[in-house]
Amino acid sequence: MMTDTFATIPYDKELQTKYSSKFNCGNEAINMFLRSSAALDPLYGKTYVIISNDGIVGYYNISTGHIEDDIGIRMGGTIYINYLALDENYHKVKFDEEGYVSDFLLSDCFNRVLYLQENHIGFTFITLSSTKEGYNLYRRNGFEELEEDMKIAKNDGEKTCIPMYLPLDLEDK
Amino acid sequence: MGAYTMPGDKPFRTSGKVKRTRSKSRLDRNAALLRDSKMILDKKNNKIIMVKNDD
Repeated sequence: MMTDTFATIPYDKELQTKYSSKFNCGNEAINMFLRSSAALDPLYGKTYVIISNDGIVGYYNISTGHIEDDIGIRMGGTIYINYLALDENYHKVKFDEEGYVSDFLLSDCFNRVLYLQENHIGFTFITLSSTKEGYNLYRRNGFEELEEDMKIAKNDGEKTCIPMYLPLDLEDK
Repeated sequence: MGAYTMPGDKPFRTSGKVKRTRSKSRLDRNAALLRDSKMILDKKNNKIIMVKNDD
């Protein structure tokens, strides 16, 4: 078959058993998360996978959070992207002159975030801790680094990452 | 008394350097494309093509 249709679906135990061991984004910690019980644990976040006939193309895991200022006053609620990763087989697959599959993985996540905001829960930003490799993806999609008077909670593994945010409100609606 | 929960006199701080609005970007363009299209991988050319859902 010379074409393969992608679909985004919630991650479950069956998908994990069948496909997670084949997923390789190039970062072992992010691969291992997909194989762990945390990837299926709603107490941690909710995982969605983009799937093809060959397995998992990419995935993201989202939860909630907030941005606070330097004295701990809340600046707004967020959807926090815990993980977002693309299998190595798709790293260089292009959509057009500017876009890669990674842009569409992020756009799929963005659509889900907008759906949540429109239908279920109010919040102001999307936040994440970017790896060095992910930084350009987020920058070209409008994310900015946190200013010095802003902070988000981090865990130990994120200390080398770059905290970034995207306001959801558009200037010209 | 029926006032059971409140975050303070304002829900959050609105001053500071934080940006609260953004310009439209490729993220909005790609998200709009994804909302009404299927994403298909053309393996021969190693390229993604978008096909409208009703096609």
